[in-house]
Parts: sequence; C-alpha cells; structure tokens
Amino acid sequence: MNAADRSHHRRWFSLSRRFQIRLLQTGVMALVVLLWAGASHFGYASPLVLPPPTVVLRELVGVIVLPSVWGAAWVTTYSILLAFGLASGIGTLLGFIFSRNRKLADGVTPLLAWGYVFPFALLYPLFILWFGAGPASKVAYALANAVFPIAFNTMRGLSSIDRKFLAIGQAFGASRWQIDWHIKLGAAWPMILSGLRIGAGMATVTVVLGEVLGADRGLGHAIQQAVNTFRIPRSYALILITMAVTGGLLWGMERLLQSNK
Amino acid sequence: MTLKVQDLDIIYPVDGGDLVACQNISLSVQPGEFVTVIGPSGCGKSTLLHAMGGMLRPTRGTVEADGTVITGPDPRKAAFVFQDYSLLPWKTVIQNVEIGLIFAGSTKKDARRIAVEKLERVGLAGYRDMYPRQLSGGMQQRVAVARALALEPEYLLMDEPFGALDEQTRRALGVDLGERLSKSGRGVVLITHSLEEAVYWADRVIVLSSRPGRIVKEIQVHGDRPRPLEFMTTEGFTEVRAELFSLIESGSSQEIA
Ligand SMILES: Nc1ncnc2c1ncn2[C@@H]1O[C@H](COP(=O)(O)OP(=O)(O)OP(=O)(O)O)[C@@H](O)[C@H]1O
Ligand SMILES: [Mg+2]
Repeated sequence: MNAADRSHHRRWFSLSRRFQIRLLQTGVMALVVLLWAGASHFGYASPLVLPPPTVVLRELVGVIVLPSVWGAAWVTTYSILLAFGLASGIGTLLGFIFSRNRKLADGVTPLLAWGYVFPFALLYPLFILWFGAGPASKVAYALANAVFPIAFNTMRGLSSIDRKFLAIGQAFGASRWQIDWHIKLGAAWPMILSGLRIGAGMATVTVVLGEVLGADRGLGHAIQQAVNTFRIPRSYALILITMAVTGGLLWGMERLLQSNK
Repeated sequence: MTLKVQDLDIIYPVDGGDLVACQNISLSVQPGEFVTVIGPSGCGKSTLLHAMGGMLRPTRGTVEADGTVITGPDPRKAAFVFQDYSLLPWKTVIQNVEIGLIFAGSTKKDARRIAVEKLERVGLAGYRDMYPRQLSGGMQQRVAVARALALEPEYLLMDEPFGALDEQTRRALGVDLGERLSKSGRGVVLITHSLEEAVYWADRVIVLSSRPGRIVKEIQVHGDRPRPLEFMTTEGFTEVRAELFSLIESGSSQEIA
C-alpha cells in the first residue's frame, strides 16, 4: 500500500468515524423521543404532565412565530451576554490585581474558593429586592455566580507561572508590564480560559434559573407562566426554544474564546 | 567589552543556614574569547553564569563590563541561551526570536526583519510560523540561539545548551554554531558537562571544584577557530582532554553527571 493509498484510507476512516458518532448521537435523540412518545401513547404518563411529541411540536410551530417569544428570547440572550461580559471583565481584572501581591492572593483565596461554591440561589430574593424584577437582577445574580470561577482561575493561573518563563523575561530585559503581557498572560492563558468557560456556563444557567425563580421577562419567565397557567405543551415548546437559544449562545461564546488565543 | 568577575561569592540563604554556591571566583573574558566552564553537578556553574549575566546579585565581589559594575541583565551586552530550550510555547518561532527586540522597544517591523535574518543565520527560515513543540530539540535550541543573537550581544552566555540532545545532534550543532559564532566575533561563555565539548569550544577551560565552586584550574586550548570536527583527533585536544579528565576525577570524588 503506498502513501497516497494509506492517507486516503485514513481519511475515509476518520470520516466514517465522525459519521458513526453523528449516527450515535442521532440514535440517542431518537430513542429519547421514542420513549417520550411511547410513554404518553401507552398512558404511562398523563398527557397533562407529558404531552406527546406531536402535540409539543405543533405547539412549537405555533409559538415560534410569536413576537412575545422572540422578545423573551432576546431578553434572555442579552442578559446572558451582559452577565458573561461583565463577569469576564471584572473577574479577570480582580484575578490580575490579586495575583500581583502574594499576601493579597493568599488572603483572598479562601474568599474566592468559597464564592466559587456558594449557593447564590439563597440570596436570589434579595437580588430581586435590590435590583427589581427586571433583567438587572438576573444579570447581577448571574454575575455573582460567574465572576468567582473567573477571578479564581485567573489569579491561580497568573500566580503559578513556571520560573523558567519568568527568567526569560528577566534575561531579555522585559519591563513589569511586558512580563505581564508577553509572559504571564501567555503562560496563564489555558487556566484563564478554563475559568472563562466555567463562567460562560454559569452565566447561561443562572440567568435562566433566575428568570424561572422570579422575573417579569425572558424565556425562563415565559416557561414559568406557561406552567402556572397549565399550558403544558407550551411550556415544553418554550423549554425546547430555551435549550436552542442557550446552546447556541454557549457555542458562540466557546468559539469566541477559542479564537482569542 | 571585557567581562570581569572579581572575588565573587554567592551564598543562597536556605533553611538551616547558608548555602555557598560560588566561592572566591575571579576571571575575565576578553572580547571574542570562548571560555568554557566545567565542574561537578551542583557546584555552582549556573549560579556563576547567572551572576555574569546580571540575573543574580553577588553576595560579595563584582561583575563588571568594561569597568562598569553590572547590576541587572542587559541582553545587548550578554544574552542567555538557557538549558532545556526555554522557548515560550505559546509564541511562534519568529515571535520567540523577536521577543528581546520587542522588550527593548523596537518597532514590530524592525523586530520582524532582524528576527527573519537571525533565523536564516541558524538555518531555520522555513520554520518561522511554527510553534516550538513542532520542532526537534536541536532546532529549538537553534531558535534560542537566534533569539539571543537578535540583540547583537557582545557575549553569549550558554548554560549547557546541548545538554538535552543526543550525541550526534550535539556534535553537529556544536560544530555548526561554533563556526557561526567564531565568525561573528562574539565572546562566549559555555557551561558543559562534556569533556569533549569543554575542549572543543574553548580558548580557555575553567574547571570548578565541587560545591562550594572554586576555580581549580584554567587551561588554555590552542588552535584557531572555527575548528573542524577533526580537531577532536588532534594531539592538542587529546592532551587537554586527558588533563581535564584526571583533574575532575581526582579533584572531586563526585562523578561528573
Ligand atoms: N535559588 C536557589 N536557592 C537556593 N539554593 C540554590 C538556588 N539555586 C541553586 N541553588 C543551589 O546552589 C548550588 C549550585 O547550583 P547551580 O545550579 O549553580 O549548580 P550547577 O553547577 O549549575 O549544577 P548542574 O550541573 O546540575 O546544573 C546547588 O547546590 C543548588 O542546590
Ligand atoms: Mg546548572
């Protein structure tokens, strides 16, 4: 077998591998839908609680053209992006400042680690009190959740840099800022990136959660409303829309982070 | 520029007292001269080199460049080539070569032009946009040399630059770089564990004792540079190598690692 044959063979193999994965994913999805359809068809689940897929699909088609749904999707989208943007800016800045001073870093580490795992949901009623029922409270709530992992990882990344890299900066005459920009940022980037990734996920989940817990707008609010008024098919249709919107946003944020190297 | 080390002591404060790494070292390196430093592992070779490049403050004594005391690194006077190809893995080859120039405030355009020229000089022009991990160890070390040369330093301070390479690559790269550097007229201080390398590169070999590192002997090596590989078969070479061997074997019970 010559080289061209082999590479062709490998390409064919990798294509088929990707195809296999796609097939598997589609299979899993189909299985879920099938179980869902079966459960409602054979009466295992009351159509009131779990309407059959066909009904949800019909509802989805009806709901997706409503301007109110588009409006809600827009509110959720900008809340997530705003929360993530603010958390990224504030988190990396705080992480950077803390990393500048050993003592300060050691001092704030427990606070950051604690903020990382603190269930901010407990404070959600207070967020409503402080910022109102509109998107501002959702943004603030999501910001509180997302900023800690970002600040924590940024600080950790920037303050645990291989001495070898710092020695290069020193030997080649870098100023303090040049060391920050050319050496520390590059060395810490994988860690900062993982903080930003966690932050993106956090912001997305917590904005929607906040909207469900209490809001006057947004997709989470619409779901909550649909359930409260017993429009169950509509709530499922809205859940599907929310999944699509948040999935799209996460994908977009991931692309942005990847391109930012 | 003459690089002069005078009455140098370097003591590291460690738990449970002081660790004397270098003791009473005096030496000078003339412009264009190649000096190699050999000695047992942990005897203070890297410490000495770092002090010569201004990376470390001496506990006692001074390092001077043409009579001016060196207080910090100046890559235009003496540029480092570290052990273990210390390139920045997140920067491309060309960006690694440019870095000293960027730090010194060159414009992007000037830095790029000079870096391209230096990469050509070490025979790696075609690899400019690759990342260090895509290069072999020998190639990475040549990039590190190009990075040091970009600042047109008067001296190159090399800390076991070929230590991590296999014998064959090590020799080939040694001959190649030795020739280029000889022609450029720069001075070199090279630390090595290899007797052959110590002799092949040197106009003068400096032998350090085991810790605390003191100068045991300085040996002159005759023979014009650049030297062909066959230099290693000449009588002059073999004699010095034998002398070094006995010095190091007797001077320290420690093995040269
Ligand atoms: N920053 C430091 N703090 C404390 N001790 C140090 C420090 N750097 C080096 N030492 C110690 O000083 C001694 C000399 O170290 P140095 O790295 O100069 O040795 P070396 O001759 O280069 O060794 P090798 O051949 O293994 O590279 C060693 O005992 C080492 O442990
Ligand atoms: Mg060393």
